[in-house]
Amino acid sequence: MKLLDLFYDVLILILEEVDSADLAACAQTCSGFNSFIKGNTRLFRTHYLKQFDDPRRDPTSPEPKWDLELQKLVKWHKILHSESLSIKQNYFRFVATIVNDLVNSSSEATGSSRNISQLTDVFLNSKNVDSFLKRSSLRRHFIKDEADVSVFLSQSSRRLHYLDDNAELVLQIPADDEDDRQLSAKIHCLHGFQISHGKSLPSLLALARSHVYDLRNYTEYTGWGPWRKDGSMRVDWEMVEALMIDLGYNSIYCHPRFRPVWSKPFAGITRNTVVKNYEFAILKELDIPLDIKDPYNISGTWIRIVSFLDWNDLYHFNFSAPPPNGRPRDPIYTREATRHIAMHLEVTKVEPYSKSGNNGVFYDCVDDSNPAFPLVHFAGTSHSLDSSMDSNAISDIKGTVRLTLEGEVRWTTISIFNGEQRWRSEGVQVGGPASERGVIGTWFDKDYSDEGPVGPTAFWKVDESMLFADDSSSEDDEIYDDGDDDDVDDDDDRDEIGQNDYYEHLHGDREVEQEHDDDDDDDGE
Amino acid sequence: MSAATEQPKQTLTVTTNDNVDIVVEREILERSVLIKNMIGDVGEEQIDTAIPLPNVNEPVMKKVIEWCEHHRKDPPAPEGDDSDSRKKSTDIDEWDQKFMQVDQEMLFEIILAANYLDIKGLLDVGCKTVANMIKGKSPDEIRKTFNIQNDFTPEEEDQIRRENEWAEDR
Repeated sequence: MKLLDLFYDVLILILEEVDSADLAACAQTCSGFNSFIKGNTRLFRTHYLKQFDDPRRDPTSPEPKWDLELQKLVKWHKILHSESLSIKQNYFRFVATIVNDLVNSSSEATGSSRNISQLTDVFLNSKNVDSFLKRSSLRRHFIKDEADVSVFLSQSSRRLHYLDDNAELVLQIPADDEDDRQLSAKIHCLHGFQISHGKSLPSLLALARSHVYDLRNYTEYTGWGPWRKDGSMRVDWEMVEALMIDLGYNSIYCHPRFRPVWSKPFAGITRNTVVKNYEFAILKELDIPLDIKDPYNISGTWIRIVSFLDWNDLYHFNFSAPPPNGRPRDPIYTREATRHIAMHLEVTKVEPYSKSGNNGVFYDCVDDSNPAFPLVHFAGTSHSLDSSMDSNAISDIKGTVRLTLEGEVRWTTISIFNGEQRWRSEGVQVGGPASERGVIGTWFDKDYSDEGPVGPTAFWKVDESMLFADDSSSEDDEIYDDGDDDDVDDDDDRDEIGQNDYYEHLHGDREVEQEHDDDDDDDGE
Repeated sequence: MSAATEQPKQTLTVTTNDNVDIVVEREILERSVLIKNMIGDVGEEQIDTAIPLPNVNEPVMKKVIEWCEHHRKDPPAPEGDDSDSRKKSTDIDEWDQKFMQVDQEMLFEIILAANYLDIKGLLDVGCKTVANMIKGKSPDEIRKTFNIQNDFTPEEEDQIRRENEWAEDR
């Protein structure tokens, strides 16, 4: 008896146990094996679903082409496990696109997400982090002057050769193409930001800050938010990346309870399955509570982090030196101040959303994956969580959440102090509607003042109880474990002259009496 | 030992397709879902009649019984096609690995018998054993392992190689 003489059912059980790549080897042995494997939907489907989440949104969705999809993912996996940096570079778009797709189709319907666990796994490899997550233009500073860059880029083949010979000296080069740089920034945002990412100097933080506080990025075209400069209201992922990195660093110095969700790889990014099946018809039902009609899951408690630069520093940075004409400004080494706020939000109105703003004009779905979602209004209160701040100072907040044309979730908030509107914010919810990851964006003057101030902000939903959790014994120092990789510039930017004055200035809160405890942060050692 | 082991054990007789009667403890034989259901169907009173197994010969049945005896206390296999329960293919315990060190002919016979007798655990171990013989091998190594004749023309071989480039190491 021979292997191929076994019953169909038995042979398939055997082939379901091999690794996916072994199927290709088996198919190449003889015509009998080839015809058994080629196009065998059941076999490829089993292999796919063993390793990845079911990409179908609901049981009525058409079956994917399981064989082609699996083959693509095996190839993806092989590239990510390759030792060669030039292979990784050559397949940048192929790999990065699949990362994005896998996040989009991730699901926790059957326990923890297989996609997320695969993704987490491949990005434990620093070569993959460098080759795919660090290709946005944020890093163009890393190459000292522009002449070097053009020489470098013009010698692609030599460059790649160089990279393979110098694996230790990997340079994180911005991708050649704008779409690729955006894609790299996007998957970096989906991945999240962990502190021990490298030893690059000048510090990534200083570069991110420079991008975040550059007032040239706050215009009517960008809507003063993390949107592209072309006025399309598509997400500017490079801006989101800079905001995430800046806030990520700033949050090292904050209480672990208030650390953003994205400080763990791919945390809180799994697509919300309830929201996937949102029925637009629900808006017409009269007796359904607003919270049920709201697909963004707004009502509840949110933790918000806000950072800001001293007014004088912001002004000098933007207006003293001659503008570098489209080129990035210098890195900012001055440290920012950071505040934490608890927001209690409630949905106040849910209405059909139209592009033109007229009621009744429903905007068309871009594709099936972007069902028309409503425009949801919310209102609530916010109060400071920092112990040195007056915790009784409660202000009001209101805002809206909607889908953009490309299907991203756009948040607009307006802070109101003593009945007067003061600050606005624009943000994108990374991971889609109701994602646990939350929102990353910018804050700025409600009248869009050309002189600022502006800054980064992020917020994510939490359980109300965690605001009051007693975790005084919790370890605050995990972040310092990789001490040698930690490129936070602790030393040269300690001085926060006048930052609390600035905060008073910003918030009209004259009661502030005490330095924020930013200098407590050495206790990790 | 416990009270259960002191009681006389009920035995059953099976007749293999080469006309050999084998007497086996009922508990061991009931690892086979097929036989367990047969006993249920014929009823307790007819249990003394030998059970014919037209698809299994004596040497194979002896191996199967050996496996069932070792695994007599295993919890019953989970119902349905639960993909998670069979996820880790390299998970074969040491005893089973040794048990499966037989020639290929016998290995396939055991798998077919396990399939026929509906012994999920044994079928699983058998399939995983064969899968491990395939894993990580080149087409040529697989041909050698399983004595497969390459019947492709050079042109076909070239074409099939291109069709399977997705799986190549990079």
